[in-house]
Amino acid sequence: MRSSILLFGIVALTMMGCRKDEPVPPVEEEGRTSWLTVTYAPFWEGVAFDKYAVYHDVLDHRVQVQGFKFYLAKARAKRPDGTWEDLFNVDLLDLLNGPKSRSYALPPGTYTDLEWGIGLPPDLNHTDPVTYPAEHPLGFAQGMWWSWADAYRFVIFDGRFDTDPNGTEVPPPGQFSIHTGLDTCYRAGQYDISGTTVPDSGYAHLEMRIDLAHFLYSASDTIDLQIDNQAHGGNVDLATRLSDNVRDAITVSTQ
Amino acid sequence: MKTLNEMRKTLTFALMSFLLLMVGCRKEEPEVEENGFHTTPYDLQIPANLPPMTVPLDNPVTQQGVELGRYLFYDERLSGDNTQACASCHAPAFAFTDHGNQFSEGIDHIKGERNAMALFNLGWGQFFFWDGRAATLEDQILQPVTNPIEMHETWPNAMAKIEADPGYGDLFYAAFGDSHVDSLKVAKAIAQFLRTMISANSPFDKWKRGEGTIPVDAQVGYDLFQLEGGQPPFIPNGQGGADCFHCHTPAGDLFTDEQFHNNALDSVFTDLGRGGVTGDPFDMGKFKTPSLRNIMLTAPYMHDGRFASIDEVLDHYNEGGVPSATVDPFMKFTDPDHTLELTPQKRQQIIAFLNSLTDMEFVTDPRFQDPGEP
Repeated sequence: MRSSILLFGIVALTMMGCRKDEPVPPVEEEGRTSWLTVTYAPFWEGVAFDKYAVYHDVLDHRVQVQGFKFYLAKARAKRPDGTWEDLFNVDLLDLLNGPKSRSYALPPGTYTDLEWGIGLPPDLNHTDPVTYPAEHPLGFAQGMWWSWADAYRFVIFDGRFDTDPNGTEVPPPGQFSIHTGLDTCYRAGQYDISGTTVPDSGYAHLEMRIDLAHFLYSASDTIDLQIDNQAHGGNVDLATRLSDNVRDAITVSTQ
Repeated sequence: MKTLNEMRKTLTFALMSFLLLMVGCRKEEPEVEENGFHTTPYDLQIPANLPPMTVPLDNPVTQQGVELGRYLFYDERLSGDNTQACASCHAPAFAFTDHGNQFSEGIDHIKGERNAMALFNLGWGQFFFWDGRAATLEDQILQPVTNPIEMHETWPNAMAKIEADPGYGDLFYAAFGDSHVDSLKVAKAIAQFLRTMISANSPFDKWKRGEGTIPVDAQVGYDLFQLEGGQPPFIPNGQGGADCFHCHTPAGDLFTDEQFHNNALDSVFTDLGRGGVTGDPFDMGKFKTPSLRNIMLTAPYMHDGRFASIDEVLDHYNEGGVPSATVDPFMKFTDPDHTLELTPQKRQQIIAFLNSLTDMEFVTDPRFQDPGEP
């Protein structure tokens, strides 16, 4: 009798396994109790970004940013012994309305380095949005798919500008819309996070700062919005410059 | 050592278990709810060229719920004077829009200020209504019944009328395990029905899936649809295309990005659109991108139905519209000196492509027509 009950139990468990619609918890939720929280915070020249503000860029153009989204991918954290722990595969950040925080499951311990890609690596960039639910970072409803390229936009940077530094029109009259994408725009970001310790149960915190003013200049390059204000795939030179600047505009600090 | 009796019991249990296993793995396994009633999952049959649909966990699509939702969608007793159903302004032959009317008229003969939206592929929607004020399909369904310029009924009245119909008792019980009528069950049932209304059998779909073809003009029109508008030097990366794909993204073949845009219709906003919901100045004059599927059946066009024909729509985009504080950066031709410059031939090719998006199998599908009395 005992063996038959055991047999029945096994079969019953097998039946449960046959259910098609059983929800699968995301990896982050599977009994993890230790987390890394990253606060993604936008700035303009070191001051908290305000989407309603009209800023002045390094060429003294008046600039108002009206759209700003970007992908991060293949994020991982390095232990002191050189081994890596995956943090997330892909995330889409829209920081126009201010900072956002995300918590990622991470085994407890000390970490020294963080790295991710800005944009999407080829294995993600050329997946078809039809394979993702609409609300997934790679789903069609994120507005990031470039159908003509069979690939995604990596960074969307849209807004208005005015070459007259004393202009008063709000929003400024000129439009800029610079979108990066294509595999050549993928950039690696590597950051020192020494001193980050994820507890057995609880959270460690990092802050990622992204300075939008630096999208338009670096030590060796300045984007003049009067000349370079549109890139939707065809203007590879401008997209490449913006990709470099976005990479350099990001810093990560421990909290 | 086992006795013969024990061996018999073991074999009996093994046989029972095997039979249960077979039943358990059947595709249309009846779902047994807590109070013992059974529902049968509805097989949505998502076409290969559309993304997976995320169905809310608290409202799975069942055969019983869909059947009930279909009756309710066509039931005029949800309106104050029993003359208007959801279907009154969302007619199948017009891809579930309002018979070509610019504005719909409620039971009190008051006209609204926005054009009735088409109903299909709503299972992929992220926002509902032109201004996205409903976050879920269920929320959306609750609103027209009580809207004074639409069905102008109270939910208690509507529920009482529905509950008084003996035909509905069994339908509600079959769908929800309880014959009591309430507004949430009504909304859930209609939402289930709407999620089954998948339009993906147009000639374009069949071409995309390798099941058929579309005219060469339509194929060229699809290419134009996906190309940047304008020409260098005014548009440095211009490709001479129609520039439609930014908002009506073909990603997932749904032809909407489910975002809100100001497509340069007005310099001064008489309808605040998304801004009226969020209060955000950046959202003023923005409206949800509608799908282009079945577009030839859904005239007139835009949130206020201001364009009577596709030609008028193409005129607007070709001329570029008017600048404003929130005009979308994709509307690159608001300067009258620089237009999209679509030639008559390109316009004809774009229209050929749009024609290929008409899904007659969908609009005539018997599963979506009026089922009559419950």
